[in-house]
Amino acid sequence: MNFMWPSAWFALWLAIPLILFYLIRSRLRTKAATTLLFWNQLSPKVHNSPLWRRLRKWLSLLLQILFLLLLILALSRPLPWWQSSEKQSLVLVLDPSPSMAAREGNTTRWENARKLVDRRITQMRFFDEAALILATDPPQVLSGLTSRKSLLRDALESAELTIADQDVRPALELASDLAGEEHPDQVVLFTDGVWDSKPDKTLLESIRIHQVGDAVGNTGITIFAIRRSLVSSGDYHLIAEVEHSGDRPVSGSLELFQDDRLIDAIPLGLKPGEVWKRQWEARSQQKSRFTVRLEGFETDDFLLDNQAEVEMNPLKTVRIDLVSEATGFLEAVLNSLNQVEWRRIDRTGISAESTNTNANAGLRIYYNSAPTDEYKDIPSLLIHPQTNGFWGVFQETIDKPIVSDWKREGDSMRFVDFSSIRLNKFSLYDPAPGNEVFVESFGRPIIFGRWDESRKWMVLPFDLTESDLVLRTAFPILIGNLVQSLRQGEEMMKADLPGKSESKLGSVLGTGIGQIDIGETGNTGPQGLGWWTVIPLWWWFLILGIVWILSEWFLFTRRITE
Amino acid sequence: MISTDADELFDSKLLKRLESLSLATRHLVKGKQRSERRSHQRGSSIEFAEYRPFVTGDDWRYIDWNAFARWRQLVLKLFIEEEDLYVHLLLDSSASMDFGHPVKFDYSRQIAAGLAFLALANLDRVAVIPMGSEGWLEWQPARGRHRFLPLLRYLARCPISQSTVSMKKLMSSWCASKPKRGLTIWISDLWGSDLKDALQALDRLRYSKQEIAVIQIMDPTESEAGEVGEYELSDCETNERRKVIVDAALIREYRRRHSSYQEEIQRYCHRYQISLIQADTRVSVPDLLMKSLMKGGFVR
Repeated sequence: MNFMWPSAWFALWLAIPLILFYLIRSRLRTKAATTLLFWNQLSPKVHNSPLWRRLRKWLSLLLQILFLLLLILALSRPLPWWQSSEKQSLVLVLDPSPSMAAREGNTTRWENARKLVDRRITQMRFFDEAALILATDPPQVLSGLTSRKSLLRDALESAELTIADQDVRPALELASDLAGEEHPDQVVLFTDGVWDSKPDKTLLESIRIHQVGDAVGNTGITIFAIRRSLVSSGDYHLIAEVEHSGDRPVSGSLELFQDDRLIDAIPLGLKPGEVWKRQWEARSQQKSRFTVRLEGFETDDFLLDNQAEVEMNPLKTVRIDLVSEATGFLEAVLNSLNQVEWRRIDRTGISAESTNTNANAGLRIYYNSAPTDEYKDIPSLLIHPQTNGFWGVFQETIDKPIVSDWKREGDSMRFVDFSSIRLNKFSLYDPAPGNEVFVESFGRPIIFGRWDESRKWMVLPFDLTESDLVLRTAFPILIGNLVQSLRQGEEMMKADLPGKSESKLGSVLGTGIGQIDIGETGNTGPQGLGWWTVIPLWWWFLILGIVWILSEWFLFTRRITE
Repeated sequence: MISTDADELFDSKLLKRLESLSLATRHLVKGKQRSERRSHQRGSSIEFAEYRPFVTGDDWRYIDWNAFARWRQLVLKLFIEEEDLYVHLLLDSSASMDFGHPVKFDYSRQIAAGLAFLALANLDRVAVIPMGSEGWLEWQPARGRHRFLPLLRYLARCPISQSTVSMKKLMSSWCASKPKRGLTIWISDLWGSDLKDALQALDRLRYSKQEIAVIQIMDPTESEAGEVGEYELSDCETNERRKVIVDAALIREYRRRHSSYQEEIQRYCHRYQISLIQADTRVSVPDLLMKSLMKGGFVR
């Protein structure tokens, strides 16, 4: 048998003073008597003591030595025969996904997992070391490899649950790297197994998993999102989805609030596995806060998905600088757009304006003019630039081209129809590398440019008066698309919710996957230390002390009574 | 440890109490003066005993001339002799008396001194016989208050005996010395070699026609087995050792047997009209003497 603290056996020397003390204590006190008359009469009674009474002293000494041995045994912290005395480098991975907040009786999965981690830290021998990793994406190393339990406990104390679903794979890969290829089993994952993305089976099989939590049913909001309309500025769409993963039908209601004002209440009756979905449409340019809440459902052990909140930003104002002479077509289009402020700047005014002023412009529309290279980072629409520039090199003028194809997808070209557009002529450019052709005429680019996350500029190489584009709906739609695409942050706003897989609270861990230690104690595995190490040392002292006192008291009372 | 200093053993306070006790006894023992003690000896008292013929050498002052006139024969008129009362104080000096707080032997000697003082004050003859102290001479009968101080010094020097001779033998030995008849006061703890030893010693005393009184000296700790625990007991007289485990049952049994022994002593004394005082050393000596006088058993 191995011992974690073999030096404790030096305490065996305590047996010597114990025996000496016992011998001293067992020496009879001499007492003078004037006569032994009565003692002689009582002699038979004195000498006919039962066997236990005659052996009680030795029995008492034996018990004391036995207790000393037990005490030393407890102090030396013996290891089971299957356990080596080699140093262990544990990598403890704690899953902070939202499903860990699910209730388990009076506590939560998260608290249970933390207790298990704390217990594992307690079980560490003084030469073992451990690291603590929070299984987020990217993983958070709360503590590097250390033997100091206090540091590990502090790190554990700082661990917090996350709101969003987490991918445990990066954390497990990092933990495996830390543990090394030779000791993958020293990675210990504390999780409920409710994952959206399941790690590789090989990885799961190599690590050790302490699973917390039982499979329970849940009714939760899985989606609650809002977005402004891409087509009609000011419109917004609100969507909510509720999923019931229990095995019995449930009923309740869903309440929707706008700025804490109830705007809708829908009774819900959900069958097992049923997904309920609802969409609301409305119009508002103002900022609003929407809250959706599930009410009246039966006992629900997972509270995080019973309420969701999402905030809709106010419609963003886009500032447009129009660099052209007065042109009615463009001004009319710009006036028709919501939340757009525009101004006209003449050609000479551009250079006169400060850089800051230029930078504030959301979009610049050049008509019969072109920007210099210093303004190429500003989103620009170049209409009939007539010169070469960063956008390309002029080749020739093409008369009466026919639009053969155009791009139908993307933020800028959505719902723009060029099918019946007629052009008298256009300037053929050789677009600079990286440009995209939006409209072409049999392989010759008509409208081109870049309209993506990094650069935004588009070239319409023809005079508006030389085409009927301005008379078509394609033109305001195109300008509207360009303006709308500039409204950053107006993409779909989703409420922070645990997610579908988290709300189901179903573990993806099945039997045969990984070395799973199921159960609350989580310390019964072959690598776990003996159960006695779970009990704090002072408990051992207490228990032994009580046993010792009771035994001695028993012997003492037997000594003085019949 | 017994005291050998007379001043320490018989301090002024004790002697003062004895003096006052002596004054008190004049009333208590009124009518029991010396002249009232009749003896079988013929002497010069006023009470007529008998006539006897005059022989040569007789004191002619005792010739009854009226009888000569009547009978024409010289006769002597004899009167009953009034003799002194002999008080024998038998003082147990065995090793068992060297025990307790106060030491039983000191206490016994103080009692003996008190009784001797009262007796000497009544013009009785007092003898002190240390029982068991071999080689230590007894205090020969003496009378007169002037003998009191030498008696105190004698008592103070009286040693504890290491002898293990039984009380019966010691008493037989003393009785064989044909002591004068009188009042014999035995001051002892009555712990003998066996349970019957003390009674047999009393038997011997009784057979010697002595008027007997017994003062049994007891230390309070002797009546109890002591506290619960394990002890090795050592006999003061024999040095015999015995290991005992004292428990509640044993304490009860010891107490019962001790009481039984005391009751047996009491029954014996009652049966043979022997005055008995079982004295606890916690009671002061003058109080004890007063108690004995009040009881009126053996001090006359």
